Amino acid sequence: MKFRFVDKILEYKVNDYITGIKSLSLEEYFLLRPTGLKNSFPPSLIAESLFQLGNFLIFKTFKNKIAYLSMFKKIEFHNQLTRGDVMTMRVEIVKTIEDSVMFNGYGFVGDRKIITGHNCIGTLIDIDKLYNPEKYQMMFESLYTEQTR
Amino acid sequence: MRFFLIDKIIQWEIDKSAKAVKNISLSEDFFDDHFPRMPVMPGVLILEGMAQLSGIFLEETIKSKMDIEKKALMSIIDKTKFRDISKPGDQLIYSAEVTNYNDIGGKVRSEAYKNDKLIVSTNFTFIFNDIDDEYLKRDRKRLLELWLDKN
Repeated sequence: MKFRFVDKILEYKVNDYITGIKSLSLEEYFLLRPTGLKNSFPPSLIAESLFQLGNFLIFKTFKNKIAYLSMFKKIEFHNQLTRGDVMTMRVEIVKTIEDSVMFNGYGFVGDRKIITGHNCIGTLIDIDKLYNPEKYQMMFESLYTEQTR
Repeated sequence: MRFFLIDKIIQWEIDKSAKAVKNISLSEDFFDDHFPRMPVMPGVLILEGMAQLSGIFLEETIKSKMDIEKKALMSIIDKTKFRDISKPGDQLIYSAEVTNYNDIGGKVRSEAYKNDKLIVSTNFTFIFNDIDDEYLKRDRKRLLELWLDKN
């Protein structure tokens, strides 16, 4: 299993916003589970998709930093995400306070709203404590290619 | 990974509260990516474990009090704070307390503790859906019995 929930990065502007895609395949392990409805993406992982996308923006905005989630005001799940859906996500930086970044996020499938995240706060940390920075850069480049732009 | 994010229920008192254990093991798959140099339990998976306990506790509460059988779907997570990170070898205790419910949905206050120290606090809002899938009903019943050590 991979704990990676961003399939493509579409566009980004440093210190501002990033957009990306999460495509949901029936092949993914969590789609059949007795704790939830069949074939729906667990809401907690929809939120993780937004956080991971936000981290790519943080990575491009703050040199050699990414963030771990420390708090959020509210996350709303409006509709389910199911197999075959392609969720377009957008994460926007609201403000930076010392070593913390506040951001909002949204996810849509077409016109159908899936998730809204309000005032999520990530604490910045040196990337080399968590990842090999070169590998993280490679991961970013593999998601943000000429073909996806 | 099977996406069962609690290991055992250790307290279960309808009308009061429920508690469950989650042991964090380095063999769990997500540690490959989260993170390669420093394995940290993803915050959303702690929330997922708390939601699994909270959701099933809410479902059993309305079953007991209102005689209705519904599936609780998480719709809002409110005012959430992570006070510490959790690593392999840690044991987390999740608690759930139903604060409000009617036939449409319910609210649950949930906390996570490590070594008796509060590390995560949150509030879940669930909406109820009809369960029209006999296999899902059966699997959820078996899972609850497993968590409650009734097998």
